[in-house]
Amino acid sequence: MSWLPKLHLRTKLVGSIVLTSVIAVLATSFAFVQYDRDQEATNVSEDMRMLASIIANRTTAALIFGDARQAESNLKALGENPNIVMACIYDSGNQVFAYHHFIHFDQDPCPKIPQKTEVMIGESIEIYEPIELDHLLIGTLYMRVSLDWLSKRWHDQIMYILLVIFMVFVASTIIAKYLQFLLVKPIKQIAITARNITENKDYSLRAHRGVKDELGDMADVFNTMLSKIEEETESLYSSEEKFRQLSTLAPVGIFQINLENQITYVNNRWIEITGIKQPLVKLEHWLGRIRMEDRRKTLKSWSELAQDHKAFVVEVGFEQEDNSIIWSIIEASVLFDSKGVVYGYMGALSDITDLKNAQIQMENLAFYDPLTGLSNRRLFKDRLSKAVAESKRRGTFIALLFLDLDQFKRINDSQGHDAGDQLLIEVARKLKECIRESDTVSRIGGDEFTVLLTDIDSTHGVHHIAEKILHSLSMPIFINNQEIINTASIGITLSPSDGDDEITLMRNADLAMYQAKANGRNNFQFFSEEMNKEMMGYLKIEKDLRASIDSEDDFIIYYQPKIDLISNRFVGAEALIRWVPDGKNMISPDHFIPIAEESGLIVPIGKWVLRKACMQIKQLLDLGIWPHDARVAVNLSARQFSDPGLVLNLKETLEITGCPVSILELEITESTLMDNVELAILTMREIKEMGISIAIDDFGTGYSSLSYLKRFPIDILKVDRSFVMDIPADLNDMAITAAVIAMAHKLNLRVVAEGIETTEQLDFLRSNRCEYGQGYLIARPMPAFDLEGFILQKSKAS
Amino acid sequence: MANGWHKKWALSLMIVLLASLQATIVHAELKTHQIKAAYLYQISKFVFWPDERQQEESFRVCQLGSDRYEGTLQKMAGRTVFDKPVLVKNVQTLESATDCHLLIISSPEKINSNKLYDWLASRQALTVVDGADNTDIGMVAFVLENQRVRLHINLNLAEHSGLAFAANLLEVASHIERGKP
Repeated sequence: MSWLPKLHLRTKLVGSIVLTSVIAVLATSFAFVQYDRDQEATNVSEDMRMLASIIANRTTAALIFGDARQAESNLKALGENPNIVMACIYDSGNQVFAYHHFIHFDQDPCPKIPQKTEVMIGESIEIYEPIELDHLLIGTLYMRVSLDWLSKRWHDQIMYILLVIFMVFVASTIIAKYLQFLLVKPIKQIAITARNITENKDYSLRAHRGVKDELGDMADVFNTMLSKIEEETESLYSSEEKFRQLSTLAPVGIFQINLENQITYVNNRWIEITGIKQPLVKLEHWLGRIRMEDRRKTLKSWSELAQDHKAFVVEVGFEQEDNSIIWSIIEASVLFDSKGVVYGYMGALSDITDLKNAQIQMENLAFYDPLTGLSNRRLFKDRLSKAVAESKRRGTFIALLFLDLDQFKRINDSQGHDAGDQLLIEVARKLKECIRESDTVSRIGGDEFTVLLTDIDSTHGVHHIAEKILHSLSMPIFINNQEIINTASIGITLSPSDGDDEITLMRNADLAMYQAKANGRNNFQFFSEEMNKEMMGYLKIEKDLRASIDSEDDFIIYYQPKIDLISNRFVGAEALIRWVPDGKNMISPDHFIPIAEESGLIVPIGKWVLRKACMQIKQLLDLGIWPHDARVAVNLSARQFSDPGLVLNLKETLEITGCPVSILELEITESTLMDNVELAILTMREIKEMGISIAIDDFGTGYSSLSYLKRFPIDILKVDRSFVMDIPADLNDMAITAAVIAMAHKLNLRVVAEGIETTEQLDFLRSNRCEYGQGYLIARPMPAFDLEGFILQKSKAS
Repeated sequence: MANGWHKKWALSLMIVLLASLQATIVHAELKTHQIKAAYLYQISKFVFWPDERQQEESFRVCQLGSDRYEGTLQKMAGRTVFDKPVLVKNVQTLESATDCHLLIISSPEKINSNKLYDWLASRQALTVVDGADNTDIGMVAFVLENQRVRLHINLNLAEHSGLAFAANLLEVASHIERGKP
């Protein structure tokens, strides 16, 4: 039956209808014929029996009276029925009494012995009818009835049935064809529509609903389905369009790859990044452009993606034809279809070349000085430690040169930062010229350079290089059409003789450099044990300082009075710290203040000075000795000034000591203020708002800009002792001093001149109308107790 | 057709036939009585008797005159006709045969047909005679034809008496008188 489904629907339809009709007619007909046959046979049998019964009854008298002629004549009456073949009458002794044949041929004799019952033999029925009279059996009637007519009737019926079947066949074929037309046409309509849609991709087509039955409903359902498909196709299209748009606009390259590793889609950005003009190539072709260093990890990631569906992100470089490298990040993951089966891979390609270059630059910045291109402190330290390790291993010498420019700060301040930068670049260039390729020049900060010389044979070689450097650097440099002469101080240390670790070597070189500075600059110094000892002295001082800060008794404040140069009146005093460590002589501030500055101990010391001064002056004030308009000046170091807790500390101190704000004056050096001018102005304003006076110390050494000076909320300018010192010998200094005083007056500032030691100086200052003076000529710094006497004496004198 | 040897053959055949006929007649004489007696019994079954006659206690068979059946009629006694026992008796006069169902007239020549007519008009009785000439008084007459006992039936007389015969009986009758001429 496998051929059945292959048949056309119309064939099946027509075939089944016709077949069903014919079978129905056939079955009905044969059932009818069979029934008819049985019924006819029964009827005939009954008729014949009745006939036999009649004849038997009629024949009783003939039999009783032995009238065979009459009996035969009775039998002849049966001839009226054409189907009776023969009839016999037997008497009570079962002897044939009479018989008659109704056919002329094939006559059979009467059966010898009559049966009791009716017998059907093939084409005929034999009937035995007992003949009774008054309940006594007097004979038997035998009849044979032919059933030929029944067969004939059956044949006729068959012919008739065949005719009917033929007519049914024709009729059912016509009906089936019509039905097929009714059924198949709408289906065909739908099929044609579906085919057109498939061929033309036009989902707006619709099947015509020709009928109102279920097929019409089917067409409706089909159309509804089409609408749905159209809708979804449109939404799919718009989604795809969205994706396409996104993909076009995306700043990253997008690619899709099928399971055969064929690139099936890329956007323009991808082409731009990869430079592959024919993008639909094999994946291998693309990945083959990755530089060797990144290729292995990329292929590994890709095989993991293919096998374990593990998404990956790799950073790779693509080698370009011009040998440049385009840096990219490839991200890829698998694509699943709606059934969750992987059908490809999708990924993004980002061009991170700029980022990578920036990173490289950052790395350069981390290890190189952007200005000079020299290695920076970090790289230098690394090189130094490697060089030390190398020298230990190979038993060779290395030399470390620590170089500091002598006039850099001055040049930077006077010529501007650009000029300073130019100078640094020039110095770097010169340094590189002076050394071998294998040596390292580094700029480790500001104007500090180091030179690391490896594989040194003798100190003589180092000596030679140091001289060469000094000579080269001392050559004039032209910056902004100005000739600048710059020198440097160089400290040299050798390893392993001076030390075999980086920290020691750096400290040694630093010390040696300071020694060179101390020796008048523009020279070099080898590190020596003496230097080391001095260094040890520094450390001792720092240690003692810490101890003294804890005890506080070791510090004393000396006050150096200031007087009004016109009226000779006492106007205040500068508080100066003195240190007398336990069981030792007084140590000069010149010795311990730099150490305190460097170690940060200046902050607690400064606080102590401020508090102590306030307390002592408050006492004098309470005693009525300290004049109300006089001020005590306390020095603020740079560290203190930049301490965020400065203002709070000032307030607390004034509050604790009960010292009036008006008598406090803070002295800040010019260079402290110039480190960060804007911040300095803000801090000064805060101090000023508290009511504390501010004086600029050491004025004239810090190259202050007049514009800044105007903005500083200050009250007093202190002319540096270096200018006063040379009066009247140095005319320049005199002129400067005069100019400073004049300028201060223009800015409504009062001027204090310090370091007055001679009357000539005093007279000069007076003649230039300098308001106040301070110095040995007036009074040396003295303890608070002595100050009492001085003030009292001065007040008496005036 | 009358050739010499044919005559001889026919003569000898005649002799054989006559001899056998002689024997048959003697035998037939005996048998005829029996057959007639048997027939009488059977005929009574093919006659439709009125209800009142059927309700009588017995079916009476009467022989008027001498016993021409030589006692064979007695064989009927004890049998039944319409479930009534058969009684056989001899009567000498018509008057004495009043309640007879079947009246066998032995000597028809002694019976006045008019008298019989009147007698039959008042009662239903089947009259049986021998010989074809006596059918005027016998409703059923036994007639010997071709060595066989045959029946002649006078339907007119039967109707006159109020009896009817079954068609079957009429069919076997070799002669039937019916309808007034």
